[in-house]
Amino acid sequence: MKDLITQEIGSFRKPEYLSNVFRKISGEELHQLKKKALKETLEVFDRTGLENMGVGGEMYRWEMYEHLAAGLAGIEFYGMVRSFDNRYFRKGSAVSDLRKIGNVHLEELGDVMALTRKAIKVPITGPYTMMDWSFDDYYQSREKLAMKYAELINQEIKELRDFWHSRHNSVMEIQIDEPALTTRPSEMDIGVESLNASMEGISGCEFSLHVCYSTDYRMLYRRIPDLNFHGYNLEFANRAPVDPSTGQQDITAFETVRDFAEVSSDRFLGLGVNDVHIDYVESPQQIADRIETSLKHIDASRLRINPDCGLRTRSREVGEKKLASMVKGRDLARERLGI
Amino acid sequence: MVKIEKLVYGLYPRSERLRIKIGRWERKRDTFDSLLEEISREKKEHYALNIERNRIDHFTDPLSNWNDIYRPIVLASDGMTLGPLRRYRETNTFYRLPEIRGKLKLKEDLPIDLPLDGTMELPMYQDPGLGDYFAFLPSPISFNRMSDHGSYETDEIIDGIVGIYNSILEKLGLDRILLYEATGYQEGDTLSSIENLLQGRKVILVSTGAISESVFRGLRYEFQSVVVPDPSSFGLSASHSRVAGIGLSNAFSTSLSSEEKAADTAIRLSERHGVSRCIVTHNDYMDFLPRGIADRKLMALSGEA
Repeated sequence: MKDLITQEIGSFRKPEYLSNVFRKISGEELHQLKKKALKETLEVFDRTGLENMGVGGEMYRWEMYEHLAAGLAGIEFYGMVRSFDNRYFRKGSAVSDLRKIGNVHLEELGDVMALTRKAIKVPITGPYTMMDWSFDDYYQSREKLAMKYAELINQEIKELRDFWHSRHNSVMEIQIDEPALTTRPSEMDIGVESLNASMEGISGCEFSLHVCYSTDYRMLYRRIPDLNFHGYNLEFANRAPVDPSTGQQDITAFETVRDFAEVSSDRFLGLGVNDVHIDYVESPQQIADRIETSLKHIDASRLRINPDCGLRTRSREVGEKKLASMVKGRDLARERLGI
Repeated sequence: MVKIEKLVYGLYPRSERLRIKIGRWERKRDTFDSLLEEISREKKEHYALNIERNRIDHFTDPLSNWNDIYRPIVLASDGMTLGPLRRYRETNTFYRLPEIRGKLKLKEDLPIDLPLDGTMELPMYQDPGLGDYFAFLPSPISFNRMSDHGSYETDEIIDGIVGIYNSILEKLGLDRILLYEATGYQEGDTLSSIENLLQGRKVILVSTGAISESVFRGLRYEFQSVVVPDPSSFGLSASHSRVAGIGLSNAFSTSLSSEEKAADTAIRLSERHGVSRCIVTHNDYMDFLPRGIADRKLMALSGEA
């Protein structure tokens, strides 16, 4: 595999023709619009030069929690709950023993595989986050609920893996998303145990973990030896402030790649080089500087390049510019370092 | 015979209608005046349907216009600004980090009781003019703990916030306050540091985390009520309140079982501690719940569900 491959990490802003009706229509009518948006988003990614297309920006998912929860019996949705400001999500409540009532990722995966020949990586929301973002009126135990989610996610991944291998000989890339993983330091054991249970007994897959909104990655780094992931896709750019008026940046945060490298000598790191919370488009030079700083601490063969998180927080236009700049920045870093 | 009194405080979940209205205003598809009208309507409805109908004894504004518990204070003050989003305790809710960058004081000439163009957070409250109404304020102790201090010391920050609160309350002519302690008390915390805010006022203190006798040490003030988060701390409430108080309704569960048992539990605790009045409320503000569930919980707390 080439060094410093560029990868999508999750969601991308949906076109309005899809977002405006996502909750209003269903069935084949909605599927056709999702497919149209997927095709257009893959074209955007192609234009930027991105190598791993993810699942084309998660056009088939309204939101990461609800997408998985809606495919489960035993979850009741009572309404919206605030995430921040005036942003809300539908938080489900576990009211009886949970079980799968289908596979919520298969349709999306089938369409992505049909529309691109480039590398694909399927993001799936992890068991700890699913537990943390659910009300629990049934299990009355955060550990039991997390482990139940792990069991169901494990089944979901096995189905996806079988589907993938019925069409491909290559390893399937799965990214487990766990934004809540480091929220409660006292529950890291639940996180580790449920994540490992999600992957247990599944061969033929490369597993990566994506953790964002963490106040302290050291909490995660300490548990890397206990986790069975092949790699970690993490955010660094939003910890590296840029002055948009001068372009001056503080890249101290990229020096912390050393902390990751110290605990992990064989896992790859997906380096977040674009801040997804600001419209400012990091220049190729800035991206290259960030990569070069990180390469002081980790070998290029173990480094992949991605935005901090999903770019759905930005407009499609800004998202495309950020991805294009990311790829150019990676090319520049390769050129500077002779990779 | 124990008299049970009910309290509803803090951020109450927005209705779907208001949520959509705010979204439209944020996207510049609706006017500021129209938004203010909707906020006012939402608050009036809350007072009528949730407070009066459920015979709630003590209450605060539902704070439908507040995006988080610190924002209006930051916007109304000099010496601090809104920072990045930060996780609110161990929840999946985020707030803007107050960043202390200068001497804290209420902005001069700020008409705190009038709308401030461009932000929906002012006026902070809509006094219903009925019942035992309290002004909600996040406690200066947790305000300090959940802020970025810059180069400022804890004492300076707490004093500054107390000063801001005194100015707000004087301007609004309010003397009943509900202080919400968002974090548990830690070693060294003392309520005497905010005594200047308490004197001459009727104050309910809601504690959502750890609380111990040491935080009351040296305090020359008796609270109207100290609301504790669990039965094991009820003795502290009984000792330091005119009316004991406890958060028994679970603001993190969609089940109504905690509300159904609340009155019995409160009576049992009160009898054990020899108190004749007890305030029963939720163990945190209700904004962590869907609106429909919060409404049902209030009904259940009133024995109406």
